[in-house]
Amino acid sequence: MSSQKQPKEGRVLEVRFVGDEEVLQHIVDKQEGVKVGKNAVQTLVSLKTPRKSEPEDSEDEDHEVCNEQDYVEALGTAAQDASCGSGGGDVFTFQAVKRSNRMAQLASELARTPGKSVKFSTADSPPQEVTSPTRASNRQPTQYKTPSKGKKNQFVSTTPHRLRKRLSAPNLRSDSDSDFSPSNSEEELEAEEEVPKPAPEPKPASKAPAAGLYKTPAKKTKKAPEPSLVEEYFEAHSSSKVLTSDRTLQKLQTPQLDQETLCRLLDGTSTAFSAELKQLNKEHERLFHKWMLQLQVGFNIVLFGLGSKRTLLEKFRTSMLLGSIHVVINGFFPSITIRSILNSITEEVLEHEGHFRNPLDQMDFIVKTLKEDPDLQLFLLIHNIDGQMLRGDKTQQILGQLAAIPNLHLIASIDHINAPLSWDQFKMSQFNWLWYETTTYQPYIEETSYENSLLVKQSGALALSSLTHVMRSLTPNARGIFRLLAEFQLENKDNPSYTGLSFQDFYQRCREAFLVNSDITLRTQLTEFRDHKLIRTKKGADGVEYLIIPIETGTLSDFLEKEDKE
Amino acid sequence: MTTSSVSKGCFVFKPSSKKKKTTSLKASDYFHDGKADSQNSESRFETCQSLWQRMKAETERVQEDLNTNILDSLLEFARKSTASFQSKTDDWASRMRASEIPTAALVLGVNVPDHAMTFQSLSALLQESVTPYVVCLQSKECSALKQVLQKVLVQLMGHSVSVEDDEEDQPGPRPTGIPSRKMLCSMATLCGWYTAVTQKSASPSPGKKRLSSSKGCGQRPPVVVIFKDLESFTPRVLQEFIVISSQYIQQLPLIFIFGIATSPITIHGMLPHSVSSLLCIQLFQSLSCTQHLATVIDKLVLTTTFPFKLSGKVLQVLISIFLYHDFSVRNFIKGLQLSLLDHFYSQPLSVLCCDKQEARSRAKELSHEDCENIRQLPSFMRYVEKQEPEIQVQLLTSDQRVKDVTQSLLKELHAYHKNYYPVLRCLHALTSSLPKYPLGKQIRELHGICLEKNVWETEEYESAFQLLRMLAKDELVAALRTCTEILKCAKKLGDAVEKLEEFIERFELLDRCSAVVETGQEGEEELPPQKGLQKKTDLFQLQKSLLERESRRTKKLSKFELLRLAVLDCIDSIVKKHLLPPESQPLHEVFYYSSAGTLRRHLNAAPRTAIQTALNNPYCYLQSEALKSEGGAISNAAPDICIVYKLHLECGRLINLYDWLEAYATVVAAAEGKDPDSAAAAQLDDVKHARFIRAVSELEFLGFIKPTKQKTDHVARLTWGGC
Repeated sequence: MSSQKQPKEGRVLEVRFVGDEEVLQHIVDKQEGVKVGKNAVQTLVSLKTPRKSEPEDSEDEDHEVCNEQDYVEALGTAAQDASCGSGGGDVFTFQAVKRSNRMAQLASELARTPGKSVKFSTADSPPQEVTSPTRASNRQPTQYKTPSKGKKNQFVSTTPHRLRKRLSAPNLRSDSDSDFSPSNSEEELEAEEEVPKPAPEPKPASKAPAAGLYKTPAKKTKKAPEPSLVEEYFEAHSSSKVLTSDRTLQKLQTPQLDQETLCRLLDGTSTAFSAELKQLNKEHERLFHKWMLQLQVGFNIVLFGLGSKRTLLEKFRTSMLLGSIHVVINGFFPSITIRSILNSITEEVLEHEGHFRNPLDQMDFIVKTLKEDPDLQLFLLIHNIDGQMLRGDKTQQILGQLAAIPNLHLIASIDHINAPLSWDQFKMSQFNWLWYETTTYQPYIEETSYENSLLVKQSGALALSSLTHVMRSLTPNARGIFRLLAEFQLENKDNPSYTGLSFQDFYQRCREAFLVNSDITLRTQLTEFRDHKLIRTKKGADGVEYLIIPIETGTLSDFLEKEDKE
Repeated sequence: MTTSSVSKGCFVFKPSSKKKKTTSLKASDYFHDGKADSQNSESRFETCQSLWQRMKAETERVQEDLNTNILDSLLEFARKSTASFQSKTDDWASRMRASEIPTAALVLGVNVPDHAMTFQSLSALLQESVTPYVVCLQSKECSALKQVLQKVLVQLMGHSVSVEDDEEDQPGPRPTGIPSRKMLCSMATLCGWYTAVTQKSASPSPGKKRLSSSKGCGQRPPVVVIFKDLESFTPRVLQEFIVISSQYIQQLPLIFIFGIATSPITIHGMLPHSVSSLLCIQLFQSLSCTQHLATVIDKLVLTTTFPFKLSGKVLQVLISIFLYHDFSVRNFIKGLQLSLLDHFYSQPLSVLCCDKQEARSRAKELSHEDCENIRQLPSFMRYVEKQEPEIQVQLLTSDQRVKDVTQSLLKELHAYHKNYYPVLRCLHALTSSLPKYPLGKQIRELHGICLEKNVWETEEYESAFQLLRMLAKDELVAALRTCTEILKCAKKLGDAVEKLEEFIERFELLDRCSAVVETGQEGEEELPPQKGLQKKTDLFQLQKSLLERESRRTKKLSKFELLRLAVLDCIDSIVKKHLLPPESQPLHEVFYYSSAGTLRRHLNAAPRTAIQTALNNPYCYLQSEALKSEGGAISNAAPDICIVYKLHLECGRLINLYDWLEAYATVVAAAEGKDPDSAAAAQLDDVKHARFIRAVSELEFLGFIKPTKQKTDHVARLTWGGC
């Protein structure tokens, strides 16, 4: 919470003059708005709440006091003061129409935000040149998506919602209203714009050209009827055609970087805002004691927020947990399984020899053993409990059962935006989570290093080493068989229609090389290869089996060279 | 030892045994916030723990009390059906019923996690008094008929094994493991086993335990199968199991208990008529969760038993999480626990938050720091300001004086609470039956209002009293009677009780003489309108005379009406005296936990909103002037991932990576101070490329985009909105 408190205090207030009439009008508006919302609530559940209706009354403004008391709003307040104005309304919207050149436009606009008043030109962003009048006119409906340049003054003082925001803005927003109110995102965003600006706006140069761009004749004619949300929705879904440019990364000098160079390059970059990041981190670290306390009392803790929480948790581990038994689990690790987690608990922590027939049995054993020994405090630290391999329902069920053990304490982090969806009511009650927002802005270095990013060239270093390892354990004949296939594949590397070596051909070649004496021996050998994922078989159009090695040609030739040396 | 590796995902750390002893800390050691004041924090932690234990015990007791009714009736049901199994009466009806499986449909409410305790106590009770053979089935373990049968067999036979072979100490998984592996799991096996067991127990058996346990139900104790969550079972599996079971009902006295979360209709939705006709279903309805909550609030919140109190906001947050999110009493109690813990953790003066005697003795031993803390409490400051100047000086300088005052103030606070709750209940009793419930249907709503402000200043209170002023005598007297009953519990409110009783007496006195008076009055009033009607009147005159009558009527109040006004004034004065909001009381911070925001953030978080805010508006988290921007725009100096995210918002379903990269490079070049128009800006260097790659893969990791094969070098966008 402290991280969110801080922003508020740091914010500089801007005051602007608001006429009496305007205020009066807004108050009337506001009350009506609230009434409606409240009645709606009452029909749902018959409850009733008191409500003050003077937003101006800010004298009793203590830290936690807020004026709005509607139930929904009570829930919404914290979201509001926590997150500077983004609530459910903007997060969950429908798909809207997007044009291909929007990104470049935004980029050039961002490029000239505060301070850099440069003339607008399309030189640096080629797609912009194709801007046609029709596109420009179509752009209008989506304009609310980028409020930075929105100039929709015709909307002023129609929605009570916006005004509530405006009125509450001077109060540091701590008492502003909820974002769960049923207004649509459009209003919401305009409200954002309405947040008081300093009267002498010192950026005419930066804004004017951008605005000027949109003053195309086509737009003016279209301006009057604003398309509704519904229309936009259907327009966005009307065609499945993808409107993007056809350019590919091949145009770059270095289309793909490999993992190593990537790391090297990134190591060199300095992170901006290090002072602020340090400040953020310090605030999180202040919570360590609280976490330990809450863990011991029986809650489990889950951390969320943007940025890698790995270093934070690691720091927590080294500063708090060194005195007790703990298990660190990297949920982002691509081949982690629930089995390995349970095994490390039973084998290494509980020092139990022997096997279990299934995870459920193992689970029962853990529950029983921990129950028998209440002095044994076990801490489980899971980086990314929402990791690729832990997402499954069964896995989460078992983790939930683990978390429900009184002397097992779980602290975990989540990053995926849909992570909470993997927990239903039942699992939630097992996990007994306390949520902590720890936004760190740290790059996800470790977490994404396993991911086969589409932009990163696969160096194949891993594949090569595993290949040599497997090869070393094979008989010379088997090695020869594999070599034969590899060589054949390399010979055909420039042939785009190469589908693989058919089994019959392969058998023939192997016999000629005195590697096998019957097709059964070859088949056994191939099965072994397949088990190690060294080859793949494919049925061709003619029903014949074709064999290929699913490894890149570069890696394969490296491998053959290495083999030759030995 | 590091925790990153390319071959391993789990790392176990065990401290050496020597180290363990020295460094292991108790929970209480984490209580002080890094400050040295350990004495205080320890006693705070102890108070907190003991208070929590008491509250927990209370909730469990409440739960048990609530469940007794339904559990009793379920037990009765089980016994009755057992009896019907055993009585071999030969009439047609019982023979008809004999082929049906007695089934109890237990409607428990939508919050499944809350049911666990109910089932636990149910099966314990059944085992204790009806039958040793109880099986609990959960849908997640029973995806096929085979598993259902296996589960039933394992639980029953494993049970009997562990009962009979108590002497043989068997290691964990064996008794449960054996029957399922070796035996063929079928109903016939079960049946055979059952006959064997019952015959064995019928003959004089050495097992004492056996005898005592099956005492209640003769030689053939029924087999109870509990389906914990009926809705999640596969209908086919359930149907087959029921059909098979009904074949064996003659040999095997089965009883089913269905745990239903929604409504009994689901049974018919899941089972066709041919199957449901095999069951003899009786419906049991448990208390609704809102009633459950009301009881919990009544016992834990609206009471002086526990010194810890929730402020209006906190209560509101907890109740709205309950009403709008989960209907889970368990979560409500969890919230209560969290607020208790947080209160004791964050408020150093919470050391005084204990029972009256204890608080007084603790107040005597306050340290200088504590006194300083007290002086800084807003409520105490307000209190000081009201005092005479010389007392003010004393309060600000002398610790002893502060301690004395604290003791007396604590005493007043306890007294305040003692009066507050009875008066609250009394007011609720008066207003809860009014039309439209101006002050709320539930007492918690009224409590919420009273915690926030002076209740008598609200519109709702006004309208409630207007309605009360129109109440008929019978209702009013009845309500007053309940009020006096409630108020009698509080010792300090004796005079109020006396007053009310006096009023009741006067009302009763009225009864006798009122008849005479009222007829007289009516007679008087009858006359003038008749006169008026005889004349020819125009509209104006009619209006005038009606107005006159109206005003006369309001002027002349009957005795009853006068008395009614008087009694309501009396109640009003009681309310005004005792239902002051706690914030008006000095030292209320000691007892009241008010940090609703914290509670909400930890119980009802919005992870996605947090991530998207961080991406959209980094200034919220990083207070750097460079990031400051108005509206929805972000500065080009923002972290890479924010810029990349912002750019991706402008795209449709698919995103061209090349365009994206180019746009990103433009922005970053500008941020680095290059002229965006020059050719150098468009130039892409490797570092920027690498940074872009990292940002994109981070977005992929967060779930905003995913790779796609629809078009070369494109990614698919996964979210909408978020601008």
